[in-house]
Amino acid sequence: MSILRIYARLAVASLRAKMQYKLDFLVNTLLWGALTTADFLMLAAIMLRFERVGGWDIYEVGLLYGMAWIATGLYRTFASELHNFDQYVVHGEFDALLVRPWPTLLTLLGRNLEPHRLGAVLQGAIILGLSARHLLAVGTLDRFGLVYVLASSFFGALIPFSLSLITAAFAFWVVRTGDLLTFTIHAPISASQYPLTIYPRWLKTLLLSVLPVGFINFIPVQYLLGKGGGPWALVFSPAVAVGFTLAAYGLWRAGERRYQSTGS
Amino acid sequence: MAPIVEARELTKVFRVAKDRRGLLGAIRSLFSNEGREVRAVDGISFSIDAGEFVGYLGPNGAGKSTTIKMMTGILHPTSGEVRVEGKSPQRSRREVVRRLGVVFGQRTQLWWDLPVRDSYELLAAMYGIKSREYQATLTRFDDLLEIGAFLDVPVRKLSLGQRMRADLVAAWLHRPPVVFLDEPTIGLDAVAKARIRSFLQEINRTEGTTIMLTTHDMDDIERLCTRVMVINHGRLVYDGSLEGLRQAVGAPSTLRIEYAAPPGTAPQGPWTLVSWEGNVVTIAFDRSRCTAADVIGRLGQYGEIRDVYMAEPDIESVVEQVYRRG
Repeated sequence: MSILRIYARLAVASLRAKMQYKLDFLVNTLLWGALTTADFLMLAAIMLRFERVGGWDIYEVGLLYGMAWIATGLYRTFASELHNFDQYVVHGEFDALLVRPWPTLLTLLGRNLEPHRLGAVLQGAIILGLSARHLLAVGTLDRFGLVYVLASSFFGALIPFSLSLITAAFAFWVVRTGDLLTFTIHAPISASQYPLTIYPRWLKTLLLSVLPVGFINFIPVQYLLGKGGGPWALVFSPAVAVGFTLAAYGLWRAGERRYQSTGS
Repeated sequence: MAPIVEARELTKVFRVAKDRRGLLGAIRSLFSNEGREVRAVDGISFSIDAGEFVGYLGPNGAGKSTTIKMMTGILHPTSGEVRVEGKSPQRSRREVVRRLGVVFGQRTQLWWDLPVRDSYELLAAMYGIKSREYQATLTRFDDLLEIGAFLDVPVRKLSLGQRMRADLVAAWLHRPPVVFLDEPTIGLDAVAKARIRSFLQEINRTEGTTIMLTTHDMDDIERLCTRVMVINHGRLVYDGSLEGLRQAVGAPSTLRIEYAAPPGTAPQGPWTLVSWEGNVVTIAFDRSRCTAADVIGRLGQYGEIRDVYMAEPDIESVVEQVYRRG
């Protein structure tokens, strides 16, 4: 597909550009690694202290945690440029994307590939692997469940991606969206690392509707581990991910038509 | 022949929201209809034929850039429409921009941290330019703009003149039939300007590229453009030849006559006497009312003419008058 070929060309160019600043790249990688480790240590501390959280044991939570990290890491690797998107609107740099004969979202994402974020994917995969091994051994999870969990971790990346795309598209209306990301991405993603059963009802509802991070992991895993829900969860979760992505892209396209540029 | 570029009743109204303070204020202004309307472009119509070189003039804030941004599909008009090769750059953006070249003098379109060559290769991939064609184009442009010397230098390390040349090549790489240039000579020194002008002249002549150019540099207009459009307060106040613009404004041409001997009386005629010193007389006359030949003929009645020097009004003062009237 020519779209993928163009994306690959752009992404490789962005890496080459990044290599111009090697120290910056190195520091970023180390910093990100330290952050993810710290985050994990906090979870580990909580789990070792209480053993069960909201009725889920450490291995079950590990499954949720691993899936959330794989999904988020993938999304950050490929779509980090969305995080700074309001700058394109503030400074009128979106002009440059509009005069090229490709979808603007493709050329935007092609500007910034962040492979060091794959470290988070790896960390998630290790925790998911260790947890799954235990759960398979005690028989709480079957082989089909494991395959589903892996597939869903990748599919799940669509949910933070579409949340981020919606936030970015807001910039076409309000121009500056800086702090909005904390509410629309960072907080929900952190919340999705724990079973949603621990949250008050209103928050749970929020995480299953407007900010549907519960569908990355909690909803399908709850059913696979026999903790509630029905087989519908396995179909519904990817459907939500795809549907949300399509809606987010629709909003993006609508925003594109509203774009005001800047005076020169 | 159908025009290659067309604008019909093109209008762009910007809403400038009333500035409110704080987060609450921001939310309120998001939902309120209060605010000031600015008609940046106000019902402009024109059509450009293939191969024309059009200068688009106007003071800062007149609506030049807004027009160009609508022509190139960046902005959507509030009303009216744009056609490039018969298609709307808003409705068929990707199809139209594939056949357009765009240069914004203030901002590079190249990849900042990469060598110029890398940018060109990316563009070649994006526009589907065949390798052999790409090589030939690059060689040709190296002849015209001498870009070979800095092809392997990162864009951020180029001088402004080099960067501008690199950007021009980038705009022409896919051989677009129509190119929009927004202040391509801004901030350049005389040598760099001259080089860019001769490139534009050459490419317009040999490739037949239709070019629309905005600039504040009157030399650009005088040397390049066969047609001038002047915009002020969002309205087109003039569209025609450069000569016609001079005549429409009625800016005086000046004529300096050197007589063999000082004339006995001050020359009288359809002109104003500017100065009379010994055998040199300078007058100013309006070309729309009498011809230069006529004026010289009548001046000849006052004595034997030894030499004639004529000066046309400089375009800057002409345009200034149009701005003031518009």
